Amino acid sequence: MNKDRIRNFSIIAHIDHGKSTLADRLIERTGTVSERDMESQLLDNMDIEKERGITIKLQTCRLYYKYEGEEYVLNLIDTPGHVDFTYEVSRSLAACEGALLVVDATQGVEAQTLSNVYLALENDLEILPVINKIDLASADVDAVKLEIEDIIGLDTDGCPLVSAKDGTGVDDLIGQIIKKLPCPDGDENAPLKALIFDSFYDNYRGAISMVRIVDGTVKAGDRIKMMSSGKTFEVVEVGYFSPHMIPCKQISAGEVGYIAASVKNVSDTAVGDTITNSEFSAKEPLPGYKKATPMVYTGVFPADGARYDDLKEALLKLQLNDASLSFDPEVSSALGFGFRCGFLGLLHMEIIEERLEREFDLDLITTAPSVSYIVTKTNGEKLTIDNPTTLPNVSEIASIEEPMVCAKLFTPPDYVGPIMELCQGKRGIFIDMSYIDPTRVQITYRMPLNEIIYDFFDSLKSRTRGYASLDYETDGYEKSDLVRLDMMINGEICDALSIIVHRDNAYSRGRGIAEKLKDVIPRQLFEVPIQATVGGKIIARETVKAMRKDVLAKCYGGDITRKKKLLEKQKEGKKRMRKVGSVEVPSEAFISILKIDN
Amino acid sequence: MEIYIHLPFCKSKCAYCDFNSLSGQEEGTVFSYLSALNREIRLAGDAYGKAEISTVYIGGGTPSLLDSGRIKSILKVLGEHFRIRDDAEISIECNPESITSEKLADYKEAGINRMSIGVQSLDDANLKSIGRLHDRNIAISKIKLARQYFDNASCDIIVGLPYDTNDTVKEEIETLAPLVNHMSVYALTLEEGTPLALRAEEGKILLPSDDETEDYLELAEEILEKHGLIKYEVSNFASDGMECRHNLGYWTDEEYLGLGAGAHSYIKTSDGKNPIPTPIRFAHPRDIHAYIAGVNCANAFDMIPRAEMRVLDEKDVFNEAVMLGLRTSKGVKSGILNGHIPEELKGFFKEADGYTSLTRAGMAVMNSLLVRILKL
Repeated sequence: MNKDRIRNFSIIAHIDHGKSTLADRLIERTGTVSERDMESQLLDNMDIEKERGITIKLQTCRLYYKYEGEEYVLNLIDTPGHVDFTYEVSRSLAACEGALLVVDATQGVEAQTLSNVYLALENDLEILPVINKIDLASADVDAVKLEIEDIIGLDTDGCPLVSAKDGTGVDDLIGQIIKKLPCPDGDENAPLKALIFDSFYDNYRGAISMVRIVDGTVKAGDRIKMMSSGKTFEVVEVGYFSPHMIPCKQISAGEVGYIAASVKNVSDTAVGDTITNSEFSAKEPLPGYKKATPMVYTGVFPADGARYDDLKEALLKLQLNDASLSFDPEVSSALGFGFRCGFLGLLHMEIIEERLEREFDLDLITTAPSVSYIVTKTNGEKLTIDNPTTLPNVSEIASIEEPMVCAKLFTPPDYVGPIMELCQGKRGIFIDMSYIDPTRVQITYRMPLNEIIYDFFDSLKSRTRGYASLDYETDGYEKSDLVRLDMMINGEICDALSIIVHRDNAYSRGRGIAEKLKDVIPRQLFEVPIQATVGGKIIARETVKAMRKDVLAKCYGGDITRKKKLLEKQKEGKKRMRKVGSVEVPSEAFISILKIDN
Repeated sequence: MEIYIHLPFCKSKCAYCDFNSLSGQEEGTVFSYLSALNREIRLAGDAYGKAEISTVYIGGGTPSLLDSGRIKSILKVLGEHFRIRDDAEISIECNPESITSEKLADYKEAGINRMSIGVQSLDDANLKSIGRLHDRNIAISKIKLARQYFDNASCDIIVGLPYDTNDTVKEEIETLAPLVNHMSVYALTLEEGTPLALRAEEGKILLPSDDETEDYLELAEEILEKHGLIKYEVSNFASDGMECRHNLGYWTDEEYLGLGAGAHSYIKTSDGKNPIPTPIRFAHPRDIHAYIAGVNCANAFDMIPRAEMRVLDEKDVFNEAVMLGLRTSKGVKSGILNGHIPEELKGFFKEADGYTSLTRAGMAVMNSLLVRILKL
């Protein structure tokens, strides 16, 4: 295929600025999907994506469009907009020459608009600003144009003004994509160099690589080699997405497509690896990506201990398509066998948990999210701790360092006060504040990640009525006065409830959790003390009083069956309880401590 | 063997009631029901006529609502088809407003020797809130009237009603205790779907907490003991020798036949005499029309439709012996629970004369203990 007729581009935007709807319009306008099959958010395959209106996994689609008498191939790569999935965005950008920067005409530039622009610039992409939602009454195109020019420094003269919702301006947009975005270069006669920007597992065809062909050509029957491992495979099928998988004869330099080669393990199609021809090999691999590192860790346990193997199976399956999910076996004395899972962020965590419950029909108990700490012991040994229970004894700890982030918040000026108060309360260090324009302020804080993962999003949302946006990136480690807060139930530490907190917050958190536990733990046959302790010192105490009454008053007319059924039901309810020593603790108790508002 | 007879008719349904009872039935339905009951008694007699009947309990519903002639004829037919012992305990449930001297005289003539009166409360606000048809004065005067005919009289009391306080409970128990020689004191159970449960859900009435209700039960128990009414079962108190033999039978593995709609039976013999290998529990359909049709089509007792039926296995026999036996103050034979009580629960049990029984506190939380002990 003539490379001049190919445009590879991504759509980047802040969450909710209309990427997926715009992708739908492009697909529709180019006639890629018949009207009959058209459904909204076509590229969002997962139920969760459709329901929440968010994109989690990147998706690609090949579009054909006739422009000024010539047929063009447009390869669209839809990307997630949430900060947790920045990693997915950076991967898709590496497969493109250009990016559409979608900005909501009613919202303007937001935190992730900027971070996505930086990603695109790092990848040397041509950026075409697109102003969306111009059909809305509150749209202020001129102000948004000004913001884009001032904050980002992009020329907005003549930039496409569209309404992805009603289709206005979409034809003009397609014209500009063809005119303004560069075509790919590369040599189809050179040795094959294909960058794997995503891979997924197909039950019938094995692990499938989504690739951008940089040089060369690949077709069915070719023997290919993974340049990182040297492993070779025979290509069974090549093709492209439109938006479903469509096999074709070959894909060559400048094109985006997939390669199926009966690969059994997704780990053999590692994202960022370069595929070459095993006989006619490239000398150097393409620069890959850095591996995504989990930021948030939590213990995930099956509510029914007997379903441990099902949970393991489910995690393995999800990991096939989501290399950023990590998990290792974990044993808790309260929750039994489960896994310590690592996630990119809180949304990622929520989504994985929801998928485990919905797609695999599992009931889960998760522990409080934690970050990864660096602990220096008094003997000089350094440990990385992502599970509070593995924190060494206080006497053995010389220092603890916690991960920091640089948080950028965009907000109308009215909420500057509440936001600063919030960040200060979360141990944030003020870095900078600047007015973008009279209606928008950018505030920068350096904050412990530990505080971000504990109800920061919810607090931010409620304090700014949803008007503020947040983006953050990791910013090294910092020594901090951290302690482990343990909860004792009837004198026994419940490992699943332990958290690492700053010493100054230990008392209020401990008291909050103790009060919550008192409410959710049902009265037992005995009085149950609940204590919060730090280093063996009790800092808060509550008591669940002993139950006094649990007996069926009447068994009328010799109806024994009914009484027996009631007892069976009661017994069934007990099965869902977790034992901490001799105390029965309902699953909700473990979840409820995640939702304490300070 | 014991016999229970169910008469599911009431003048109006009480707000807390989810028993098998109906109000506003036409005379024709009542007649059809009693004919079917009559037929069932004959069929049951054919099957179990060899049994010696030690107790008969006529429950409901409100049996005293019916014309007493009908009660007489039920007992007459029963006597013709079963061998009722001379010393049999024959009870009938009555509501205060429907008790009259004529009915009491008829009951006595028919052989009834024990009255169970549904008083529930002596507080008029409580009585009104739960839809009872009598008030405090009627209740007291009808108990006194009943005592003129029967030595053996009991009343039912519910605590945990909307207007209960320590004072009202104390007053009503102290007033009633000298008038009866048996009392059943129940904690109110909110049954799903009843008008009372609905009103409580909607916040239209405020009920005492579980703790307060338990306080009332303790208080009632204390007062009753002072009057010589000693607890012999979770909810039952009696002066010496006046325990309800029929109800005790339920807890102590007695065989019983339940006649009437929704009635439960527990059968251990093939004919009232010869044991069957495994005991059976079963119940008739609750719906009276299904019951009537079922009885009228059946040519033998075991052909009457059964809404539920269970052949008890070894596990069931153990579970029932424990869960029923522990309801009584006497308890169960010590051997039965050997090795079944976890160490930390032993404080809820006591041993006496070869029997294991629950302490007062243990009896109050019996369900929680049972789920730890039974083989469920």
